[in-house]
Order: sequence, then structure tokens, then C-alpha cells
Amino acid sequence: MLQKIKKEAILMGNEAIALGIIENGCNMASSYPGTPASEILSSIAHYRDAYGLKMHVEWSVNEKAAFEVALANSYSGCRSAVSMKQVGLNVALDSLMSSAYTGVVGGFLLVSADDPGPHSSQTEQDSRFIAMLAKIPVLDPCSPREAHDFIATAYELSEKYEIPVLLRPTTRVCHARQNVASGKLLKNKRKAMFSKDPARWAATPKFRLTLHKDLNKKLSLIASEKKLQPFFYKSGTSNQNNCIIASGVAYSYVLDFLTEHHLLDKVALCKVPMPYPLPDSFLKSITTKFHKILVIEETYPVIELQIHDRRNVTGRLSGHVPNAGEITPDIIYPVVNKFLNIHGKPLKQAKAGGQRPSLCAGCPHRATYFSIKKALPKAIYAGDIGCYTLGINLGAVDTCLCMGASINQAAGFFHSFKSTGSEAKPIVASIGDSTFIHSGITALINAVYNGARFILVILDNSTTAMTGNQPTAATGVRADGTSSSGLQLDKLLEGCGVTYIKTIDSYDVQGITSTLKDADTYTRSQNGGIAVIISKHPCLIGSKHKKTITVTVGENCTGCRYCITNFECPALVHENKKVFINPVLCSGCGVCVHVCPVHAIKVQ
Amino acid sequence: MSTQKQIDTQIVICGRGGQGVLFLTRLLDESAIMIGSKVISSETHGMAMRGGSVASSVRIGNYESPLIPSGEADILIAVNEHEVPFNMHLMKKDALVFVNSSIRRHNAIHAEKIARLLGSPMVTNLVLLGFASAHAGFPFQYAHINKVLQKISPSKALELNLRALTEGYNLATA
Repeated sequence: MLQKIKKEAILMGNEAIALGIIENGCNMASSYPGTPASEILSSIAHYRDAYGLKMHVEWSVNEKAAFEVALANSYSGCRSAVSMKQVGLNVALDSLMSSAYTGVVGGFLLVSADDPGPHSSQTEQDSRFIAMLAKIPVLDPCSPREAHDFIATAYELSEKYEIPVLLRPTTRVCHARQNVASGKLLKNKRKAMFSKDPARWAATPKFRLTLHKDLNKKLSLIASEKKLQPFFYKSGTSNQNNCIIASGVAYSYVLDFLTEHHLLDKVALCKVPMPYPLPDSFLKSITTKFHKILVIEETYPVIELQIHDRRNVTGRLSGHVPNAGEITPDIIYPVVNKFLNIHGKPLKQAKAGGQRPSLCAGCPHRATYFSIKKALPKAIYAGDIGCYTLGINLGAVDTCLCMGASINQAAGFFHSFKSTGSEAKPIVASIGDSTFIHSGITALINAVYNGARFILVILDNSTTAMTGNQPTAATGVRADGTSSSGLQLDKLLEGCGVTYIKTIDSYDVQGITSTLKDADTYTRSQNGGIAVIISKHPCLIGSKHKKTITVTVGENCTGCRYCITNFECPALVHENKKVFINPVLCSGCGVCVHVCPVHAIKVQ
Repeated sequence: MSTQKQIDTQIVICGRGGQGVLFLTRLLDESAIMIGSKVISSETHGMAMRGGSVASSVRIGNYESPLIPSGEADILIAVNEHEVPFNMHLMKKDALVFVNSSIRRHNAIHAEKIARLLGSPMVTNLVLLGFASAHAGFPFQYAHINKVLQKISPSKALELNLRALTEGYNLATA
């Protein structure tokens, strides 16, 4: 539980961002969970209570909803914060693009957390490019401390120019911890007030052109905002021959390297707090001041691309900095050494390997995937985004594109095979409850409407597990712990036009296996359609789970490793040609009893 | 405020998701801030936490960035011994390596077994930290960590946490 901060505290980047939002008079915060941004909203909820503030804080069902809810608050003259991971911004992109034109009245802070690496995402896209695409300013913090301090600046900028402002932290800012000094607490005394202005808030294409011209004017003024200009670490270093331009956490790595190796006098170090919009004067003149320039930034070459004359500029675009992957000290140091013609000692190489992540012992998803694989071994398995993407380890996930794609792709596979007269295969889509609510519902309506046939398994663990067990619209609990009327999945499915709906406990291997076979028959029958199976069992993390049974492995274990390979439970350990159960990890789900081909695993 | 001196130390903590690497990271962060030191650390979240390899870095001193460059870490705390090889490239030549291991070797303790005897394998991390804190080269003394632990432990876990830390320390000094 986060407490009120008197002067200074050690905070995770996401907590520092939350603190900045709390301190700056924001009265509405919304988000959809996603690594590395998830802790921003939960921290805001904690701080709100610790500071005794009145605020609306919500986990929205997706990023588009989060964005638009918060935007209306800013239309009403109040300060809003909406946070998400970078691929979440893709979901809210439609809203963002249009809101850049309409602008805002109350400060609108958009936080999109990038994931260079990527550590926990399907792309390592750069949100700064999205800011450029949408034509809004973006701040690129180099540390938790700076992320916190940027929030006051972002709100001022947003209100001065009536424009949404993007704060773009990366994983190493979001999940770093650092001493952060608290700021002044700005008490929010504003009342929501919506002034009707159809030419702006409901602009037709004709007025949109005017808004676009206004936006361009705003951008050129923002580019020359004094506070946000690129600056040199040491003033008077422009008489150097070489210059390194850096932004974000990459700047911190470069600064540490130059400090440690006493190189700050050998090269000019230029920091870019706002990579877009950059003033023309800087972009033109920087190359005339130095012989050689190296640009270091994550993850795409946003600053580098904007420099007019790139003949003496190197970076990710030129290939001098690797053009994919996270920038770490080990990546940067040799690049900087080479740039400065320094012969550095070779770095020790990391040993490849390590333990891959897997579903927890007792995870209901494992049981479901085992049943799917057993009942329909030849099916195409369209997967989705969540813990259950790890079903790939069990061979029950063939595709993983983005949130909600499993259902559309299952429909696509069906139509593809059918329209080409290819041999029909069973198709099984699997999606978690939170992801289904996020973007699976419209997909299902589309699939039903267009006559697709497949099996949809909703893995209902009643939470958003991967990102830290945030509640969903079906849980009946909100971000601040208050209760809401929970969404009823079965009724929703009926409303979408699905008639085959079965709900089964995920641990019931036999029940799910036989239902899957029955569902497969239904999808092929004359009046068949989409069959939906809700595989329901609460996630063991965060639920009050008690171990009620003890499972043991009998003498007849042949050590065939079938359970290890096909069930991959962390509690099953293969040692000295036999399988053992690690009693510490075992949750007592008893599902593995159905897995062993020689029935050696038994309930004690 | 403790009487401890200002320090400059870089620590790597490694293990598998769920073994308390994040808690140790936070504990060391707070230990640093309590003596008035600057600190910046880095953690692993998300997909990597489902039982996969996890490593944190804690940089105490005048650092602006959260990751430790290869060959510069002073101390490794390995809650899972299988993770040691994947982090050795980060260590200095003369780095101190503390390992939870059933095999008897230098600076190793079977912390998991001791934790289980104390009542929960969940405190393996603290047994190991208590053990490390007895070493002259460790930046924080047992008494200091004990104080910090009292500050940041959830009240339900406090008693067991303190017992684990103390047991690890006692075994090292016995």
C-alpha cells in the first residue's frame, strides 16, 4: 500500500508517474493493464486514498474506452491521465488521431509505456513515432525521477496549447526504482464545465481542415518552448568536434559511461527531453556545429530521422547502433568507444539460456489446454494475448497476433479452408476473459454474422492475471475496490447469437474433453455454428486457494516423461529416471492424475 | 539514520519468478536510502515472472541508469543456483557470490531447506540475505537490514521474515 510521501521516497517509475499525476490536480485516471504500464493506475488508486483526494479512477475494458472517457473530462476543463502499454495505444489510435485535431481544454496526459527488447510485448514499436503521426508533443523521460518531474510540465504544456501530451517511458523507466522527491500538491478546485462548440467538438470535415491548420500552428510554437529545448550536459561544449545526442534512458546510460571514463570533456552530450516536435533551428544547425554526430535513442530512429543533413550523423538508421532491440550498457558502450576512437576492453558475453516462463503449477489454463490437445489433436489453435499465450509450451497455441485476434483469425481460417474447398480441420480459438471483453466481443459478433464455424474456448479465470490480477468487467469489482454489477458472459454470448454455450470447470479434464468433441460435431452439423465453451476456474494467484488433496507418484512410474513434455507443470520433476512431485509447488489441483499414461500419478 | 558509511556498490539478485527477487531488491533499495545514499535499481515484471529467469540490479552510489554493465557488479545474490551462470558476465573478477545451494561451497547456504524448516520456502530469499549480511564485504550490516525489514514487511509476514533473516545471519556467524 502506497503512503503519502513527505519529502522523498524510493519509487518504481510507474509509482513516480502516479505520484506526479496525483500532485498535479488530475481528477480522472483510466487505463487498461499491460506490461510495463500496469502499476501506474493501481498506484494512482492507492495514492488517491492515501492523499484523501476525490478522483475517478477506472480500469476500462480497453485502451480506446480509457482514452475516450478521460478525453471527455478534459473537454470539460479538468485534468485527465490515461495510461497504457505501447501496443495498447494502437487500440486507442483512432481516438488519439482525432483528439489531436479537436484538442482539449483541461490538461490531457497520455502515458504510453514502450517495451524495447521486447520483454513482454508483441512489438518493440516506438510511441514517439505515434506522437509524430498524430502531431502531438512527446516527452521522453530518462529516469523515474524525470518521469515524475515531467508531469507538471506536460499538464502546463497541454493546457497552454490545448493539446494532448504524450509521456513515453520505457520498461527501464517504468520498472526502475529510484529516490524521487515529491512535488507540490496542487489541490484540484475545478468544476467540470462543458462549453458547446460544434465546430470543434463535433467538427465536420470542413471544420477539420481548420483544426488541422490550428494544430500545425500549435506544433511550431511548442517546438520552440524554452523549457523543452535540447540542451548540452555541460554548457560551452559546442567547441568539441563530436556530439552524442540522446534521449530517454539511453541518455542515462551514455551519461554514466562518459562520467565513469572521464570523457565528458572529450565529447558534447546533448539531451533531448522532447523528441517531437523539434525546432527547425536545432535540426538544421546541429550538424554545422560538429564534425560527427551519434544519435542514441530507443527504439526507432525518431530524432535521427528528423535531422535534415545526415551525412555526418550515425545512429540506428545508419546501422552504427543496432536497429532492433533494447539499448543496454553492453550495447551502447562499444558503439560510443568506436565513435570516439577509444580502444575499450572487450565485454564479457552473457551466457545464453535460462528458464523459460511457464504457466504456474495448478494453473487452470494448463488443464484446459491439455484437454484441447487431447480431444482435438489435429486442430488449428488460434491463440491470444495473456498468461495463456504460454499454452504454446503445451503445443496448443499456433497463433498469437494481438488482443482479440484469436476469434477473427479462427473465422478467417474457417472461411479460407471453406472457400478454397480444402479439407476442413477443427479450429479452436482460445481467449482469456479479460481479453475477450477487451476486444473479443465485436470479433465474435462478426464471426456469427458472417457464418464462421469453430470452437471458442473462453479461459475464464475471473481476472487479468498476466499483468498483476486486475479486476475485469465480469469480476464485479472496480479499480478502487467498489463493487459493480458484473458482466454475465453467458448472457452476452446469447446476445451475440451463439446458441451452443457450455460452462465447465477447467479442472474437469474428462468433462471438457468430451464437450470439445461434442462441440466439434456441432460445428460440422447441418444447423451448426460457433460453439463456445467457458472453461471456468479462478486464477490461483490472488484467490483464496487451499490445497485439499495430495498427489503422489507410484512405483509404476516408467519415467517416460510424457507428463513433463505434454503437461509441463513446474511441480512435476524428473530425477533419476522417475517423476516426483515437488510438494512446495504443487497446488493439489489433481489434474495430472488424468495425464499419466500408466496411471502412476494418484490422489493420496 | 544508521551509522553506516556512504557506499558505492552494484548488486545483482537473480532467481526464478516467484522466489522473492523483487522483495530483496526493494529491501536493498530501502537499506540504501536509509543511510542517505542515492540508489537506482531495475526489476523484471510481466511474462518473465511466470517461473522464468529473473534478475534485478541495484546500483548504490552516483548512478543515473538502472542496468549494470558487464564486468562491473560487486555482489551476486542467487536465490536459485541454476541462474548463476547467466549472470556471471556481469560480475567483477573479485565479486562476492552468495548462493542458495545444497552443495557445500564458498559463500553457499542451503537457504531453501532452512526456510522450509522455519515454516515456509517463501523466505528462502531472506535466509540468504541474512547469511550474506554477515560477510565483511557486504554493504549493509544485519542490524541495519533488520530495521529496514521491520519497516517494509507486511505485518502478517513480519515475524517469519525476521526469523529467516536472523537464522541466515546466525548460521554464517556460528
